[in-house]
Amino acid sequence: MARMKFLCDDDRCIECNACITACKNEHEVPWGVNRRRVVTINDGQSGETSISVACMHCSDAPCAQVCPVDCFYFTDDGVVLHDKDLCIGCGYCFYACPFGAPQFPQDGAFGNRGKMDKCTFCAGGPEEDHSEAEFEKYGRNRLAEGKLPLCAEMCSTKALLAGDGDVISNLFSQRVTQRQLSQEEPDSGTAQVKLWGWKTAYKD
Amino acid sequence: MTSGRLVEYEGGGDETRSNPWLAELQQQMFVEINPADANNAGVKHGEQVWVEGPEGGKIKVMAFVTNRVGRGLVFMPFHFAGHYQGKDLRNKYPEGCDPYILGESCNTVFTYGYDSVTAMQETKVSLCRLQKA
Amino acid sequence: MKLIKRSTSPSAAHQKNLNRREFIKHSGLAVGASALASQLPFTMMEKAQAQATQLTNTPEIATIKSVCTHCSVGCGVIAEVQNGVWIGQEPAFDHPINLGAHCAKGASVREHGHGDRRLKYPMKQINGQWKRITWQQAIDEIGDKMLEIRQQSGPDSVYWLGSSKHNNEQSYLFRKFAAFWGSNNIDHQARICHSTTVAGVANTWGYGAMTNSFNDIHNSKAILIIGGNPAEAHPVSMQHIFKAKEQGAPLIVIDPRLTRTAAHASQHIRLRPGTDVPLILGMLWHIFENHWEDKEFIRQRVYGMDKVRKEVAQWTPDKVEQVTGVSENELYQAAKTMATHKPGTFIWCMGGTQHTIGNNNTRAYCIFQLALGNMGVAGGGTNIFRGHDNVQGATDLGPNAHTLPGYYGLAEGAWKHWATVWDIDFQWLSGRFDKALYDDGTGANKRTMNMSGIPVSRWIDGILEEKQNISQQDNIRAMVLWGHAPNSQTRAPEMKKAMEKLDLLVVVDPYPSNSAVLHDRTENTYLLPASTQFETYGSLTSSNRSLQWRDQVIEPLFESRPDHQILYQFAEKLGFADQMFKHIQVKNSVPLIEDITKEINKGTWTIGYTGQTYERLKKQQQNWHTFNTTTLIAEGGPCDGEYFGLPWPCWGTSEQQHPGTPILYDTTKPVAQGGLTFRARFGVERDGVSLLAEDSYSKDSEIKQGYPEFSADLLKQLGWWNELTDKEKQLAEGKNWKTDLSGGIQRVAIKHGCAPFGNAKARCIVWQFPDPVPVHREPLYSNRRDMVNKYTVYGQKYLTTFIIIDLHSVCYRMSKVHFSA
Repeated sequence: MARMKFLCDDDRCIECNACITACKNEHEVPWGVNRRRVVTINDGQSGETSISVACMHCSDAPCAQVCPVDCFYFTDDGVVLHDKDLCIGCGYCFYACPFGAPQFPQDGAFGNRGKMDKCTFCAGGPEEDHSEAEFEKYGRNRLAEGKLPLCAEMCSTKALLAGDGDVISNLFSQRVTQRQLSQEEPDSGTAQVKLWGWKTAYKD
Repeated sequence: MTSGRLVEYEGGGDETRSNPWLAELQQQMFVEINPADANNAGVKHGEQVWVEGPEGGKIKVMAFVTNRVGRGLVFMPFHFAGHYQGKDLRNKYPEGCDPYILGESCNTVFTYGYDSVTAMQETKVSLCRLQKA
Repeated sequence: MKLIKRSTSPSAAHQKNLNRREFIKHSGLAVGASALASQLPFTMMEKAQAQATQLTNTPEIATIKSVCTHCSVGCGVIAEVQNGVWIGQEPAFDHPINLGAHCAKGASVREHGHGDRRLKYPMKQINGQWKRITWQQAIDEIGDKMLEIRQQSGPDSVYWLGSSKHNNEQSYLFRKFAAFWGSNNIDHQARICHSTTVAGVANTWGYGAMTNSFNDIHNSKAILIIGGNPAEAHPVSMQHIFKAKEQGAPLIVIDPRLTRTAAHASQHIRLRPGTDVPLILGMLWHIFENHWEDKEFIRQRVYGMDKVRKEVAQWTPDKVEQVTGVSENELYQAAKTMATHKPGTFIWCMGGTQHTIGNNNTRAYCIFQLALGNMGVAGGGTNIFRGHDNVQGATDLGPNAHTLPGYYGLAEGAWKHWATVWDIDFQWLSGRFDKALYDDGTGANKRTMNMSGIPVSRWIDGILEEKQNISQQDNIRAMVLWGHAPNSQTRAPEMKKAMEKLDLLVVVDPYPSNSAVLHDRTENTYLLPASTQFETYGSLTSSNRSLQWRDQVIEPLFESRPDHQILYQFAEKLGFADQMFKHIQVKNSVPLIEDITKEINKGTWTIGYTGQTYERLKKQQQNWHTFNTTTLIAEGGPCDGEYFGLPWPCWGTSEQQHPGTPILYDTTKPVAQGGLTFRARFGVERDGVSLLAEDSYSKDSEIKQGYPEFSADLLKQLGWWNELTDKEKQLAEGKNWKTDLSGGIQRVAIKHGCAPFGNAKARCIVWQFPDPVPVHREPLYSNRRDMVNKYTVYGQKYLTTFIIIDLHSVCYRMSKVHFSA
């Protein structure tokens, strides 16, 4: 069985934000909630690097470990999902998450956070696949349609990869090899393999 | 002073600033200022600043202090409109047709100057003065 | 301000009792990320391994192919539509240009199907308040006012400002409309986008457009971007740029800002804005100093490089540093990179064009590529990224103050050519224009019919300037801003005044735009809702000269109408619809797009818009998966051998089945297969020196030397005249390759392996321009007082033409130098 993973190739990410609007388009996420965002380090300086970040669907997901109501679960594909009916909006997962993925709509009258919302790897939620309830709470279920997350599918430079972990790590190594092969000056250090977030998320 | 584009918006921006998925990503008209110039003008990142052009136009925008621009250069995107010389014109749009995001147009301060052959306008070089608002 | 927007289109979806879930339940596997993606070498996607739920596709969900409306890259869009509602957007993995990719704008085009903030119905200002009116009332009131202005002040007092958001058919119809109204006061955004490119580049080697394609950048060994920020302005093009970069091509970015593109560069050079010419000449200094230039290429295919050398000689590294702020070492590095990594491509955008010496900048860039012999080769070229989705097509065919469709110009011959195509009486057409003569800026007198109109950048002056300073009967009294955002233009305070002075202001746009709010008018202001390109269909031309066919995704939203319908209604009201739509079928006031495409094919010989019939374009759209993603050639399938979008010039009539020209001036292919030479456009000799190519010709050419452009006479001299059919002979007699409506002259030239427009050298000296060899001049508002006197703006003579006195002379200069293609 495939193990779904995300990988963002920071050599290619140009902060065009297509992943963000693709996500909005697909799931009709309201204004103010961003399941995915692009983080830029050294903005405006040499060494500026951008990375598209969402829930990484960690192997040993810290969010699931700290959740007091145990609303998280793992699909057979390794996708980390949660049950909004159980979620109490306590926000522990937000503190535990190394990627700052959980979002809270903040629509309550007394400052309560509302149900947590996050990237589902376009895999919906516990409701029946393609049901109205599923769409309402979690957005469209592309995996059940045999499709991959739209953010990665629409990425302008194919920086953001999503899919079976073995496949995308293979693709990425091919890319890295190609880059190393074509480096004129191998000592320049630019061909260094960078695998942003991979170890944190998947420990391997 | 120079101008250019942002990825979220296109041209004058009316269509893209009316698209909430895009508008959410760029909610403020801004001017990029080098830290040295910002300090000289006494402006801090995020503060409002008046940008005055040599032909009388002036606009009030947010200062974005960054090394992206070198010393002596400021940059502004040209996609914004709906504010004019410090005034919000939102109530002048027909009801329900105002773009989600409005802002000052940088071309309120850009100036005269045309290519000798094609009458192309000069939007990439002009002068301005910065003043804390 | 509450901005939370939960659902897609409450109005549209719920009215029709539909929702997105309905779709999801029934959606099948359809395209998927899957197999198609893995075939593509750098798509880097793989099939989802998850068990797909087997669902059946219900017939009412239509998958419609369109093209993104946000920039000129031309990304394919796949829309899923159910009962007229745009419910889903899928990546077009098999589209040869974007391979499924989008930027933030492209990934959100489905939102346009909701249009919450659209202008919903025609409106007019009464006492400063917006009031809803009917279309009929709007057309009648506006039309009556225009006819009154025409009566009092002549046709030139109404200004028709068109758009690069029109599709090709609408752009062309817009230009035709102005011709029938009787004025050249018509223009669009290309003027303030790449007009200096079109003028500079066309005057160097013939055509003013991107020479290669986005995909061809894969073949580049080095990439230089100046005054361009594709990571933000053309993000999907970065996919192709990265492909080359990852194959080892260094990426040099020259920009005063550390842009998001520069962040990925191998070398970023910050220059002082407005100093492009000294920077390029400074790089050439290193190239000549180290003998890195391509001497054989220059001998065979370039005129005037010796004059350039003289100008370059004075741009020593120290002087360059003084003016541009770029050090000798940085510039040497960049020059060396480009000289040692060939072929290299040269990309520029608005940072180079939007200057008072924009035409000098663009010519300097061309000269750089000529010196290195990077022209006419895969991986080389001047890859000029254009702005709007159809700015190339609108430039080629549409609203331009200085020319009729196809860059035919405005001389009598041009009018006669189009009058023939339109099948109308030239005298009648001529009678539509002001009959008086006006100073054309050189002391000669002309009719406004034969003078360039007021350019879009100067319409403000056409309103505010003293009447006697303008070469037309009266000031502009009515403005029609049709798909134009005025905040993209400089001098807003004056624009505000100008808008307030108008008798009539009409805005035709899907959105009210800044034109609705900038001014303090209270009456005689109209807003008419136009449809977007997703609400109609037709062709568009992307930056790389490829034409694509868009299908209609949804019906026009609210009361909006497509541009061609609104044009028809105005033509009807203004009394020339019968003449104008003589050969265009009109149904319920909507002209048939395909008939307009046919008319474009019938008349646009100059730039080869003759072979791209709607049938061929539709076929390509249906088979876009068959095109190679680097060469853009169809490999097998129904379009076998054609290039994607039949990039112009697509010579001859469609019967000739020309495949389009993927790379301009590429002599390694026969003309019949997309090869080309430099165009013989500037005569055959200059000061006793030949301007024709030497020992260079396109593959299989029967003439192994330079030759002039083809005409009936030349065919006779060559003894090829009898190869024309009798019918062709009839139409071709006395004509040339541009005006022969039979296409016979082009056919026979190509049969013999020759380019219809001749085989000449590219020129480094444009003797008709103010600066024949590009030189540096400080910007009008310079931050370097010490430089202003040394590198002055144009002397008094040109300075006066900047000011509106002799407004038309500025324009006049344009037509005189064939700024066109």
